[in-house]
Amino acid sequence: MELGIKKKGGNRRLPTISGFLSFLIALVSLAGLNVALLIKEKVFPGVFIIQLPIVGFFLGLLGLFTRRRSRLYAIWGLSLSIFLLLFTLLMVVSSLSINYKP
Amino acid sequence: MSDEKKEFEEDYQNYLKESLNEVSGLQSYSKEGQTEIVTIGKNMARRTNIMISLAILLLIVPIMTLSTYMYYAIGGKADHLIDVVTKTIYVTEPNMGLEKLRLEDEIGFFSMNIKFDVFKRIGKEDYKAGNYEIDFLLDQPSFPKKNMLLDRPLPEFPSEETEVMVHPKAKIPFIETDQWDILKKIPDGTVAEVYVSLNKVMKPEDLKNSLPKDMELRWLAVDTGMDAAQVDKEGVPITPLGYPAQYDSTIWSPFRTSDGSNEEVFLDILSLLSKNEAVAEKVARAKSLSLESRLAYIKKHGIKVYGAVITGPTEELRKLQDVKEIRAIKVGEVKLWNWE
Repeated sequence: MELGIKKKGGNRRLPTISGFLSFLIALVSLAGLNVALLIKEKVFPGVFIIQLPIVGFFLGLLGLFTRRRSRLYAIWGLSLSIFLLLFTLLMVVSSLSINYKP
Repeated sequence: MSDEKKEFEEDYQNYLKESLNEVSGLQSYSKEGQTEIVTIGKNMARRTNIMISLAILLLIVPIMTLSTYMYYAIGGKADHLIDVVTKTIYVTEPNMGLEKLRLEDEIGFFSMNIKFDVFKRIGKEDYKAGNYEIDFLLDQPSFPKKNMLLDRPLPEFPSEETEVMVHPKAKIPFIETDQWDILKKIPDGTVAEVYVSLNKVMKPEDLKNSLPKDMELRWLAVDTGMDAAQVDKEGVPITPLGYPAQYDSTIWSPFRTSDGSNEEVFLDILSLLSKNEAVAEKVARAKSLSLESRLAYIKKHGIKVYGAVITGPTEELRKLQDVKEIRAIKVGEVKLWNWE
């Protein structure tokens, strides 16, 4: 006996495009941040820790609103963007409290 | 019984037929369709794997950096370590100060590196005496990397034979007349720094009053009960503990005191260092500070000095030979005239 598959027009569990973009942007930002940290750059490039994560955050939020498609990438993108923004905030606060000079 | 069995058989056959009809009614995928689904699934799984692995790898460095920053920032740990290091310099290095405002720090993975310059007042000017670089692994300091720019730096490994300020009960390890000769042969029109050893322990005010006018008392070596022996209880050499005698106008200096009570600041520093002795002993030249017993001695007997660092014009410093309280001097740095 052959197994059949019920087909209901394109119901594949693929991730949303905005979710994928959000994940991708978060990865690019993380890579940029890694480079900045490893070469011990004094002034962090704001684009990687502020602008891009904000874009990634909203794209990830958009990617969450789906019924049929997978939210996996959106959740990753969103979490990484939140981490990057939190990283920026905590780094600023802790840098100010270490050997602060007016 | 047999009727019942027949009924069951019929029901079963009907159900089987229905199911077969249903299955044949289903539209199965074509071969290409199946291949496409498998390919999409494979690609999707591969891409997800790659992206998640990449994300985890890229998170390692930021998380390590952030946790290091949080470690040093929470509770002011970095500032506390910096405070201990800088204050150790003030009380263990004669006539030496630093600009805390210009201290540089760099945080690495679970480590911190601090760099700062140290200065000596010779005559009326502060000269850069060298720089310090100290690496901390979390809160454990390494031995400082020093680069001293002095002509006559103090020995890195102090011992009884190399001491420059000596307690009245201890033997003077250098020939006193040689030092007076050096001072006599240095030309007029220069300024110099001398380390003075006294004949007896005395109050700081008494020493100030007994000195000739045109010179500046810079640092006072305080009697801590161990200075006559010059070693601690275990026989490890110690160096004098003391404090700057003058108001220090450098920003953030602990001796920038409004009422000029450097003695109180000195005692505060000693009690701070005694709580962080391991860090202070790494930074100081002497590898034993025995702060607890020395601080207890000072608190019991009060601040009395047995040595000092004095700076001024060379011709004025020669007058120290006539001061009866002075047992010996050792000449330190000499610089061009800057007194007026």
